[in-house]
Amino acid sequence: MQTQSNSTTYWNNAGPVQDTLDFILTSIDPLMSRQRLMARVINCIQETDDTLTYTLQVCSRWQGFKPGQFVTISAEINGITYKRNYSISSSPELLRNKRQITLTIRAQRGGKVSPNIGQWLKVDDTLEISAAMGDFICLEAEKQLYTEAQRAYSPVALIAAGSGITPIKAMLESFCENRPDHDICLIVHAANPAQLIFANDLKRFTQSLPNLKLSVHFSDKEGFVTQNQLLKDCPDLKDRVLYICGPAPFMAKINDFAEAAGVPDFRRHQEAFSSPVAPRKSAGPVTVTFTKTGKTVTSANAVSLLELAERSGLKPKFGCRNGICHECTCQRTQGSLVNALTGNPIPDEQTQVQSCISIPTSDVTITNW
Amino acid sequence: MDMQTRALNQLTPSELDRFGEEMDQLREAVLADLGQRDADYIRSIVRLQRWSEIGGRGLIHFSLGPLSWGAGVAALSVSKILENMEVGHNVMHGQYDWMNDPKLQSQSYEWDTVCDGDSWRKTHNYEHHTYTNILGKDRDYGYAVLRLSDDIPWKPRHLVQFVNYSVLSLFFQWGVGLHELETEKLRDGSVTLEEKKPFLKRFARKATRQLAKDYVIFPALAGPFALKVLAGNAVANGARNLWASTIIFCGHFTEDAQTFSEEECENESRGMWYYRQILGSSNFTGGRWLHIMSGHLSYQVEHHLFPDIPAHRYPEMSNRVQAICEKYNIPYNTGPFGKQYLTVLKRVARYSLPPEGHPLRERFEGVKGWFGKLKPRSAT
Ligand code: FES
Repeated sequence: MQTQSNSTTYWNNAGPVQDTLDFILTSIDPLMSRQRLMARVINCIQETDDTLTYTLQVCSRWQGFKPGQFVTISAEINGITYKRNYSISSSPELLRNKRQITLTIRAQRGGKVSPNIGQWLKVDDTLEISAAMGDFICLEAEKQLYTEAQRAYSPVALIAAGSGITPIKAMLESFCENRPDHDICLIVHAANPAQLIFANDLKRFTQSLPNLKLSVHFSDKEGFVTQNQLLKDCPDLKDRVLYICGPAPFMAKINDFAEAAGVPDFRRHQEAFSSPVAPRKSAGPVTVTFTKTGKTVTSANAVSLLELAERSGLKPKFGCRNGICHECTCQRTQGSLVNALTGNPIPDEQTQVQSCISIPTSDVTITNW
Repeated sequence: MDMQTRALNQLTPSELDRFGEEMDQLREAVLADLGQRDADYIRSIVRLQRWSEIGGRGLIHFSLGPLSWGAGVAALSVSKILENMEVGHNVMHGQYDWMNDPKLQSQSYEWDTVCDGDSWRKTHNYEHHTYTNILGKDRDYGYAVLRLSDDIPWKPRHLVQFVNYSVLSLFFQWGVGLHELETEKLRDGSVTLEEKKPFLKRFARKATRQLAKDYVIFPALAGPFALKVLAGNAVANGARNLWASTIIFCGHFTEDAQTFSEEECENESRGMWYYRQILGSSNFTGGRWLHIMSGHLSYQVEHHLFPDIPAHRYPEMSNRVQAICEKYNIPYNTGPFGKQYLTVLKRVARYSLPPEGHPLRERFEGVKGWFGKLKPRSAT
């Protein structure tokens, strides 16, 4: 373990030797990179009208995942690298046997990456992925609360809407492999039958998991989820450990219902699962958050990020203060900005921004100050 | 001085504003068009640079005779020039920040020269590009070593500034690396060595790393043939120095490139800033490879107008820039590489002599008739 972390540090300390060796290795095969974790697309199938499932061959250094976790992929579109999180939808077994994972990606309306993903991510392409992340992991947090035996018999309720089913599917795959007789209540919401992701897999699960109770609802016909409907699907909700994944309003509803039904907070797990929401344009004062130093500052006028940072007591580097030299560049992850020189908005996908000429027009997050 | 002031006053403030707007429009149009083409271009240059470095070092290492050694040195020189000029200089300007590629980010990029990246970003991106050719503020003007305009009082040591110039060119990376030291200010006492400590530390760290790479580690890998590797690396570094210095001198020190005073640039408008960038810079023409090897500093005018737009776009932008210049009757300084460089040499020679009216001047003119040719041109 020690040697491994030493070698990782060595490779991540980008220096001329590391860079050159990595360049040679990646010229042979991108998956051999030592500086980045890479994967190759080996298959792509149409899941529904607007959803694709990609099978990725991951590099040998990729460490593995727990069902429910996600990876960040770096997608290059028109020269710009975007980072997006997608849950892994396959079983740990597939990784063990073939070093493959699957990602199931639905087109998000108004998104930059997912709507045309089929055009820029094709079979044989390689892409950078992160290590698996996230703590939306089935019965993982319960390790601290229960004994192993208790955990094995904790009944669960898996509640998904739309593409929120992807991490849930990985959990179900893992139950099939490890504990097929586990008591599972599975509730799946979709707009209509055509939009139901993994319809065939769901059928397979009902066959191989004898204690699985599956309920499927279509909101086009039945409308939004209600408390009655939830408790009808799962009368013993309060005795189960809940895993909820779907659009934010859906999760909020389920959470409220579950709380009312008496499910304690520590047994309700959820995955915030949506594409980055378009930043709110606000007319009133905006707040700028500098996450590295933990400072925040509010601004009511057209004041540049650089000045706001200085007002909040930071001393960032700067030069011309006029948009020429880029000395004042900072990293923006959220929020919208306009260019003070031109009055034009600064594209949302641009993360490196010149703070001296960037004026926030919504709440903004700066990560490196 | 007189001539420069007149030049800056040629346009009315409203004309300058309109001129500035046209430049802004050109800038916005190109920024909106950046995309895959630009990403592919810079990556292809990075690939070429890396392969030529690997090939060059390999050839030097395993060379059997002067021919293969020479080829290796040539390849390594090309690699160093590409890395410094087309990749490093341009990436550090923020030309590729929009790609979100961590390897091509302006604030973290570190290049293959003894000049520390942070120091470069401060002295070049900020000071030189903001205060271009403003005497007293743009320390790149003559690098505090050369006298290239009459605003600097003549001293006898300027008589030999051709020697200084040659030495500066040959060791250009050291000159650039130590630029932030501001030796001229140390000498007149306006800054102290104590204040320069943090810079010196950074410089020492970077310089040690560079020296170790080219003069210790790679030679040591060759064992008994260490000397030929050391020599090869030294020649490649020297070639890169000469090339970079020559290109850069062609950018601002040609005969017609103008200088400005601090007062005339106070509170300048955006249009005026653009205007000053054009008057203070000069282009040269040549083949595609000359442009690439110069990091497109052959389009110095466009580079100074748009320092953070990917440099390989300058050739396309230059037509529009020239058209705008013509419209506002602004001189656009360009010419063949050789000719432009000749005017640089002339400038170095001319200002090594005392200015007209200086008592010594008559003596020189009496001695050598050809000095007459080096007289400053009368203002046109
Ligand atoms: S300080 Fe120079 S671009 Fe912001």
